[in-house]
Amino acid sequence: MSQIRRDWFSKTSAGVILGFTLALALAGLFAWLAPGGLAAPNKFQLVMWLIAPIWLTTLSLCFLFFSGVRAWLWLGGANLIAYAGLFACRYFFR
Amino acid sequence: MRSDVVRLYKTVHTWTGITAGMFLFIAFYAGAITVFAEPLARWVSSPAPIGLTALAQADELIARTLAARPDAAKDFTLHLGETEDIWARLTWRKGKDDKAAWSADLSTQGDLRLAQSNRSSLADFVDNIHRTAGIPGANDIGETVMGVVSAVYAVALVSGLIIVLPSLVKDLFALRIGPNLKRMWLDAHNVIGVVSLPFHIVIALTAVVFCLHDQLYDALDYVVYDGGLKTVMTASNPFNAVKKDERPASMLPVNALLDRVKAASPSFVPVEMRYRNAGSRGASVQIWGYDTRYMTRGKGFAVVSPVTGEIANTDYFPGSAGTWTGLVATFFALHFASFGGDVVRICYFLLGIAGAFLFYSGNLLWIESRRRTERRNGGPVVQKRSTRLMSAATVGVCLGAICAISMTIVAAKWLDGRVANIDVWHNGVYYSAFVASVLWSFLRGAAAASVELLWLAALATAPIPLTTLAGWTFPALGMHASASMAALGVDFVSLSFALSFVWMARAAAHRVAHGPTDSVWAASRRSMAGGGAIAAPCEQLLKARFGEDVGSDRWWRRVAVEGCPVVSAIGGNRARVSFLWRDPEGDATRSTTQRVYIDICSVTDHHISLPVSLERIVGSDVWRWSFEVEADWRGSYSFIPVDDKHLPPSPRGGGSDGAMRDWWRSALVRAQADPLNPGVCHVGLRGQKFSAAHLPQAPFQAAWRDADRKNRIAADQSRLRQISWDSARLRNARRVWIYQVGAVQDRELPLVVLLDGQYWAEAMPVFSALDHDTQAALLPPSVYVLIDSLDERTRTRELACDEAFLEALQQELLPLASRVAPCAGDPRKTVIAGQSLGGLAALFTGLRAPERFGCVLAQSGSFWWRSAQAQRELPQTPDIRGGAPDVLAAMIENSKRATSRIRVFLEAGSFEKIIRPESDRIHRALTNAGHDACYRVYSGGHDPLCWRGGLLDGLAVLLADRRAASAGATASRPDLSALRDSNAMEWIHE
Repeated sequence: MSQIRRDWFSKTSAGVILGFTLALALAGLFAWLAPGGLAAPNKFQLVMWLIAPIWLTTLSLCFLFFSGVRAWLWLGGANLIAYAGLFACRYFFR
Repeated sequence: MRSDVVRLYKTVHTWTGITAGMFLFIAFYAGAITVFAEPLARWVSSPAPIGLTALAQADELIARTLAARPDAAKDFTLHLGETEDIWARLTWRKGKDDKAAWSADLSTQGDLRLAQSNRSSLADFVDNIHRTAGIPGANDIGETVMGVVSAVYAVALVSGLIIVLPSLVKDLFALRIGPNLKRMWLDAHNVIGVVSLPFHIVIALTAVVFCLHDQLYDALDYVVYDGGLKTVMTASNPFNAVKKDERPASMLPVNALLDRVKAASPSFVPVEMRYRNAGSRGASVQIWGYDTRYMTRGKGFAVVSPVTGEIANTDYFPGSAGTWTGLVATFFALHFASFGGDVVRICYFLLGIAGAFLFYSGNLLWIESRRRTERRNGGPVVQKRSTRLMSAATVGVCLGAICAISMTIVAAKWLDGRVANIDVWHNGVYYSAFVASVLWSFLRGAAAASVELLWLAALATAPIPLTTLAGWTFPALGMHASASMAALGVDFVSLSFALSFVWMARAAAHRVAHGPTDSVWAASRRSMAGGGAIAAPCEQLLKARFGEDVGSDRWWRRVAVEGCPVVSAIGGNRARVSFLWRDPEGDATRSTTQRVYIDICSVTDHHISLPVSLERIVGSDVWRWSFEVEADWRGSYSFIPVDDKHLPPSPRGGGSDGAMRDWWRSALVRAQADPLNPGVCHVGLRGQKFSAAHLPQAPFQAAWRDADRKNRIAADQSRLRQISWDSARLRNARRVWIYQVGAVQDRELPLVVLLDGQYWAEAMPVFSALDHDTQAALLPPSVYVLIDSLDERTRTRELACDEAFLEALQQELLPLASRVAPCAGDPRKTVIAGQSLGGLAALFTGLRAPERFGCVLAQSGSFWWRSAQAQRELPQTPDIRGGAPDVLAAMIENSKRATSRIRVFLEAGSFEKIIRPESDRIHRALTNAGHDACYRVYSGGHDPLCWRGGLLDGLAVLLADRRAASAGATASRPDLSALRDSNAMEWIHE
């Protein structure tokens, strides 16, 4: 019932920093896992295009987190999972 | 959507919008023009000096050029079009830094003519302004800044959507074209924002990518590709499709190459051929062109080997692109409007201009709401420095960009072919016009500059069609005036823009001259000293504030922008409140309205013998009346316009009190809320509609703000129960509302019993306000029981110190309620609250049953009531004559001997002539008897509009944590002033 916290600095920084790293990792997962893998010609452009929508959606919506701490924890967790996936791709597909 | 989330996103939207707004205005205005870059290029161009070489001679032209200038072989372009912006058939540059392109053509005699161009690249220049918002320096600096701006813009879009979501269906298409200009602007801002939202989302996301792709690629290379991205890029490069081979080879004719492409796609329209390494076996040609059937990145191309004629790469060829490039091409097309032909381009142009309006209006709304905030703090207003600077910057930057672009376009046409380095001239004209406009705006202030710069914009734009006209009329000038549809389109659009600027300049000038004086849009000479307003009569004040043209449509619009009633501070913590009513029938010669009575709660209502009427300003449809009051006054009011058939009985003509009371009763049927009041109207105790007047320093009613702003959030039905209480003891049945705020698992919630429950459940629903204050931790989670008081007779009987009602309440209703919601039996956590007669009943209940009701909230209590005995003789009439037994006073006196003490929150209005002194008396008596009584007097009357705020404040005081209260009664009170401040910031952002 209690009111959502504003936490401008922590929420914005979570959205900007962790949103960006998350977008990067998800785009990377797409690069690895979508047909063709890393080396598919011309695919790298679409991979790059994926970053902005993911990043900006995260940034826009991260003010919905109850507090800045939760934003950092949730997005940090999502980052950990995404990067674990990315390293797994490197390990298994290379 | 929860209201606190919406409020948070409102702040996000405001600040992202404000920071990005001015950049985006330029980008959108220039971008809209860039959609028609080709017509603009055709408009500005003059014909090629020796005429274009016929396409049939293209092979000869290539061969002879390469023979004369072998350095062109590395990279040259053959232009296939015939439009006036093509100034040579064949062009090349000697390298990346070669600013002026070289060209080759064959004269009619068959000589090869080589030349270096000084043609205007106007369309490219406008495109640069679009991409960098005119931020000077290297392009990548401007683009990086714009990348960040676009990201901020994307956040502004999402937050804007979240704000309008809750009321989307209701408000979206309610463009309230009416007297309230600010609301109309807000509605227009919302409609344009939502309707063009998909467009804006696409533009924002693509712009981020266009501006930041270098940085994004670097990050991807580092994190994902592990340094191998360059290899992937090189492998994907279509220009590498033909292997390097320096051995000389002869090339196929141009037509043969074009036929190959035609065969691959018949709908493809080639416009240029870029040759690389011509004459060698490793030569390649990119054949660029359009195909409106597909989503393309502007132009698409196929790479062909001019030696073998084989198509080497179609990654970027419309219709033949691979999955990945095809998808990405879609994003490009969506940004560049390079699909669907002219219809889509026109749509994009309009959307771009509308987008520029969106940012301009957003900034103005922000400035306007800052102004209103300041006015709330009491006028006359000196605008804040930041507001003044922001408005000057908005006007200077936005209008400055418009002027500068128009001037650059005109200058480009006049200078084309006449000066050596035209790009320097583009920059010089643009930046000097832009910087001068911004400086001018700061120098003159937003008000004056908005008018002057709009005139300048008109004066700068009109020469575009005039130049064409001059070219036709005076061929001696040497100005080529193109007559193609494309170039004429530029003239036509410019002409309509110039006319719009004239219209806007005149509208702005009118506002500056006649508008409200405290506005940033008012000319400084009119700003009035604070002292002047005191002496000025109401009429003078209205003229000074809204302009001399009293009663005109524009004047009323300006009144509506401010909203009524009009409040002016007059020093000494007092204010003059002016009420205005517009006669729908016009002035006195046409109208049948004889009087417009005003019913202000406890000021000019039925308690006074002579009703007060507004007065007509002679020869106009303006009715006005004003009075002086404390600057923290709050009150309900309504207007009662009457014609000669409904005038009140004349007091001299023998009209008795009874006749007057009858007149009031009949007049209330004609009562109407103030149509100029921006707030939502509310329902009074007798069911009539009232408007609300809140003076700047009136206690802040944060919890009621949502109700005031029409976003009234309905009670959470899952927590609201309506039960029927059939009382055996009282022999009647009534509705009871039980509302639980807070977690269900809390076993013992405080209990609040609210009398006159039907008013607080239906006429002025208190539920969302309770939610608000509970969320804000001002109130603990509690159970609220609202009791219907049935009809007037039952109410008068039961609420006037009635033992039967008290017993029924304790023995019947409370057990019933505790079965529905888990409420505490602790008297310290049980409140009985009421107003007027309900206030009397509340105090009676607390004094009679302190072991159950330890807390009493009594607002404007009818403490004049003496005893049922006395009242039977004079029903419903306050009787404060001595002699009658005073039941309440006796009870308080008796309670001295009892052990338990109750906590009481008393409140009365300064305008309540009888209740106010009676409340003083009761407060003294309670304190003397050792009860914990908190008493406050507000500036207002017998008015639910005041009670609704006091009710929540009183509950907060009474239910405050008891541990904190041990230090004394007042220590437990939440600091109400702090409570107001904490909400003040949110108020600003609305």
